[in-house]
Amino acid sequence: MSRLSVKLPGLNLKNPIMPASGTFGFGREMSEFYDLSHLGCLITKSVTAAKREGNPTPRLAETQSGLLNSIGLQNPGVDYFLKNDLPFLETYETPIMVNVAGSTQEEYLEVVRALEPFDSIKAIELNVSCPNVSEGGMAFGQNPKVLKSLVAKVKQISSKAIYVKLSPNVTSIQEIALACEAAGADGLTMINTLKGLRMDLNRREPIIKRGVAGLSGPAIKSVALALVYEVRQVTQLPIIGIGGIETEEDVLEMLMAGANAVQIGTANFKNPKVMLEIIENLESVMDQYHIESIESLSKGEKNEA
Amino acid sequence: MQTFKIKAHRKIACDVYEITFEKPEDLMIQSGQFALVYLDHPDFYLGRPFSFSNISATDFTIIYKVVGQGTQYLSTLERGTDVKMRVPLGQGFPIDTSHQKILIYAGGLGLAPLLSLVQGLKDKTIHYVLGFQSEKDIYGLAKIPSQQLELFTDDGSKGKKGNVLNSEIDPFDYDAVYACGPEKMLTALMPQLKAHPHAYVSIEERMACGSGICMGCVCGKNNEKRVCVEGPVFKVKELV
Repeated sequence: MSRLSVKLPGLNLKNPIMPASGTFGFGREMSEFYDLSHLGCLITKSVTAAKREGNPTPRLAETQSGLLNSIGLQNPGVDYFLKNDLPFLETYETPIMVNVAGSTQEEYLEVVRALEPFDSIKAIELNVSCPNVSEGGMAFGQNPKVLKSLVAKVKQISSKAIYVKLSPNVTSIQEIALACEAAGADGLTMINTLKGLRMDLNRREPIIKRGVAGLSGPAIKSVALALVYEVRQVTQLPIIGIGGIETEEDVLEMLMAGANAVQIGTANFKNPKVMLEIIENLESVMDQYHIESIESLSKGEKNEA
Repeated sequence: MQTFKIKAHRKIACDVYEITFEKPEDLMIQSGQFALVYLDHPDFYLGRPFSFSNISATDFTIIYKVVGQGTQYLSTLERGTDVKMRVPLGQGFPIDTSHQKILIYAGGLGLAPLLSLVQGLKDKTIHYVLGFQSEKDIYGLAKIPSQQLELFTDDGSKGKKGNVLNSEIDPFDYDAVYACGPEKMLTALMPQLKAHPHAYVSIEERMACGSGICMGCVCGKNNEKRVCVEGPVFKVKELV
């Protein structure tokens, strides 16, 4: 047990730092910057049953302190992932969590079934919160009944720890969280992107081709903190907090709001080494705030891996 | 992320600026590559990608147009200011020294990266087909001999009225063709260049990470190419 280690369902983490899905690809590009074994966990881009090309460009726009994206779940599909990307990720001494997306319940289950035989995959993150696709994604995450049914079915067919990635674009995130818990989810990751838009003043239409997109980055940090705090009030489920984290202080802030570990996303785009730097500096910042260990901040239940 | 000091900064055409940065001699930059420039201001979260118009042992130059608040802010930075950027990124223009006759198509700011390309093409016959919106937008012609230049302006204020697509030059008379310019220009031009064995374009697309991770800047028939990693320079036949 070190000061930074965290035990979560399926995930024995050497530190609470991991990338947010979509900001890490399948690790190859990031591995050029540093040894991925330093990370607490490796999280993949969303994997769907079939290959997806994603949305037409432009897919990105800037906001103050943030980024809008409408990538649209571009990924090579689960078969390609298992053959080509998983073996690469397995070369690192870090647990792997695969993010899974789908348009229909059956598609989610198809991917979960395909991942089942691979012991190196320690956990699955269900992406039921992507705002950039017309079917599936956020549509699942906004409806507690639909979500509960999906999570329950996934739990039936998978032996892996199941984390549900929550959307902030809901009326009551507490209701959604409780639905996931009732269905047997092992943990929650939150939040996915907020809905946002920028207009092109010359063309008089949205900058991003698809229109409304997902907002991330420091602009959303206080929103993410609020939602983590609110969910923590109603459940002891492990929470991995996501939203605008860029510094060691941001990490501690998210943990104090109720998260057990964190994901860092958009910050990777400004500084590809940000996660490594945070991991290296975290203990000295913890000293400044008299924090003995990451686990001592945990407000949820402690789980064995 | 590295820091570079502004050595010179001046306006060279309507809303067009040229900014030169000091660089260490051991930093190798190829024409066609780009820099992701970060502005030290809370309104500007992402880096802005710019290609190079000139590269020497001790400095590099970027030509850019003020098109929004970020570039507006950039235009205010003074000589001596330190600017953070990630450089160099992407693939440069392929050059085959056996090629003798080179054709350049450029529209507007598209000329900028091609100026650094021609720096490396000594003793070659280079013809330029250039288009600008209007005379006030013209820059970069000082080193281009007039007999090698076919100039268009949309409004006819200088050179011929029209754009580079109106040129009757035959790209197949040339060993290599390089093109850069607005999306509309490249979309119309690329099918004409598809059969050419050595035709290259430099593409731009909105980007975030600059390292091939986020999949924002994709191009190609099935979004399979990333402007920041496989590009920004592509063989025309790869894209159409």
